[in-house]
Amino acid sequence: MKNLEILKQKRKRGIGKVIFRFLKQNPLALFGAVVIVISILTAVLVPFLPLHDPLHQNLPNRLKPPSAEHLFGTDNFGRDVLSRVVWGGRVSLLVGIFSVAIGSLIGVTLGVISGFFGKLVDTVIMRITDILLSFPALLLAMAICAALGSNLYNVIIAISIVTVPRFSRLVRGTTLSIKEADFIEAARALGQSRWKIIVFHVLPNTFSPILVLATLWIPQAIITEASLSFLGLGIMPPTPTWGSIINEGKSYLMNAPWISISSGVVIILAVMAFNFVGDAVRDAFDPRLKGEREVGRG
Amino acid sequence: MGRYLFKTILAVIPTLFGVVTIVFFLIHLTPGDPALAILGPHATADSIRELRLSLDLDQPLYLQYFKFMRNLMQGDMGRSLVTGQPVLLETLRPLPYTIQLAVAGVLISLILGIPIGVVSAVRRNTFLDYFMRAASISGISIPVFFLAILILWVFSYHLGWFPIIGVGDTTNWRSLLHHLILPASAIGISMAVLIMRLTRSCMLEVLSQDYVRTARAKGLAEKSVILSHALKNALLPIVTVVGLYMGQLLGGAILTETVFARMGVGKLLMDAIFARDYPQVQGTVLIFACAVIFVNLTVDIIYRFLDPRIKL
Repeated sequence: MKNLEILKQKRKRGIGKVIFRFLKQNPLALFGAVVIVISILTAVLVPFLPLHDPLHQNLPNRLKPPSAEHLFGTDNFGRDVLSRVVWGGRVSLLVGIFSVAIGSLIGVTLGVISGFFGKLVDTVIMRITDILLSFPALLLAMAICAALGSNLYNVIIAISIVTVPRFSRLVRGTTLSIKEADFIEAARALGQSRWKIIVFHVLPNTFSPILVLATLWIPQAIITEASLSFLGLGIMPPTPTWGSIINEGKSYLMNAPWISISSGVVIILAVMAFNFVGDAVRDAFDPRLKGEREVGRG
Repeated sequence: MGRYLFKTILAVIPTLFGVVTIVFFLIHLTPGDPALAILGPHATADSIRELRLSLDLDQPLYLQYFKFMRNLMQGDMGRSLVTGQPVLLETLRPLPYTIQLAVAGVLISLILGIPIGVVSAVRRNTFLDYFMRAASISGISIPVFFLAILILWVFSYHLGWFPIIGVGDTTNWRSLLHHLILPASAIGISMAVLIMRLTRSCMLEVLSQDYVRTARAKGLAEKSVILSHALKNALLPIVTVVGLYMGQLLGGAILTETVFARMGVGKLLMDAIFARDYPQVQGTVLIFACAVIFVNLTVDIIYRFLDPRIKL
């Protein structure tokens, strides 16, 4: 409730101040936001950081434990694990954020059309949504990657397709309830076109649940990408991603556990950061969504 | 009752039909020539033509689809390109090991999740509650395959308590169990986190109900109030949600089977994908997806049996 009050002040204050106060009230969300900002900055600035080349092999120096020279040690090709993890973060975050952005864009569009126009369009879109939702998320992503082939774009496509039905179902529901509101009736009476009503009246009102679901889906997308890469179906070596580093390190668990573990710990940190922020945003905006992550996790 | 069952089961048919169609087109819209992909770049023109004929790839897509549907109705999902055995048979062989893993995982998650959730709700806002909630939010953020690797690293490599890979001696139940504990724990712990959160929130809701206050007012022991009055009612949504986690459970099974190099349907799928054994991939994905649909259907029916408020 406290959070809601803060967000209600949005109109009175600048958005920056609102976010600042919101984070001050939620220490976990603040921690999460700081971690997210640092990871994104690192991912963007990584070419300028004083790191080893993540692809440079140095076989005499293979499987060396963490040291001052190599903070996270070296892998089976003598590559620096720290720089691989940092470069891997670039790919993993890119996939996570982009696939949720694309998936939510398509999902929201379909959901609004489905909810607003109803009838046959609604039936068709929701049938397809139901069918896609009946697939386990990872299995569907695996099947798409297996069929299309493994590369960055196909992984993004696969995770976007998994994301779409989650958003279309949510937005359809919200649209249905908004459609009956008086202000929509008023807009109609004023003679506004249906598309204008959708863009200017319906969509802005579906924004908060979309934001909540998106913040909670980015960590899912990151985990799904990591799972695909771990299975060898995601982005192909030698390009590092968090999942593929764990996969490569798996064979050397006995004598070089730092390879898998450093990457795994970084995944946990990133996912946790998004989860903290997502939880706080959800509590602030829409407590009704409480079960969404539990069900959507896959 | 009969009417309800009939209607529910009938409603699943279009979904099943859609799932089959999507899987078929996904596999058949693979870019490039599947025969070439299967045989590799050094294949002769003759062998490619032969394979195209045997897979009906020379026919138009809609004819392939109708033929696939017709065969599927008769339980025929084609033959594996690697072993030459029927796909259905190949999938059923490792199925018991995946079921063992899934059932053991669910059991572990319930044994851990429900009591912790109840304690967390009853001792709400104490240190114990905060600790468990912090543990659960961290637990949600751990990918199941990394959890499996950590467990493997600690208990097999370092402590040497458990075997590293495989399902064990299939004729000896002790060996099977010994090989099952670690992978099942990985799945179980990652699900227990969700069940704990759910149990906590359901218990909190139930504990504020009038009948719990009545039970307390008539002087029942707190233990009996919590266990037989509150928990019994909180269990209902838990049953449903365990069903909804089926998809996640199977995803977890694929990943854990890979980590532990365990025989199972997940490993079969992975092997088939890497061997470009398309009929086997298609069949396994289909069986996986249908299994999830049927479990959800069963849970839905059980839920209605358990909750007398829902009229049949």
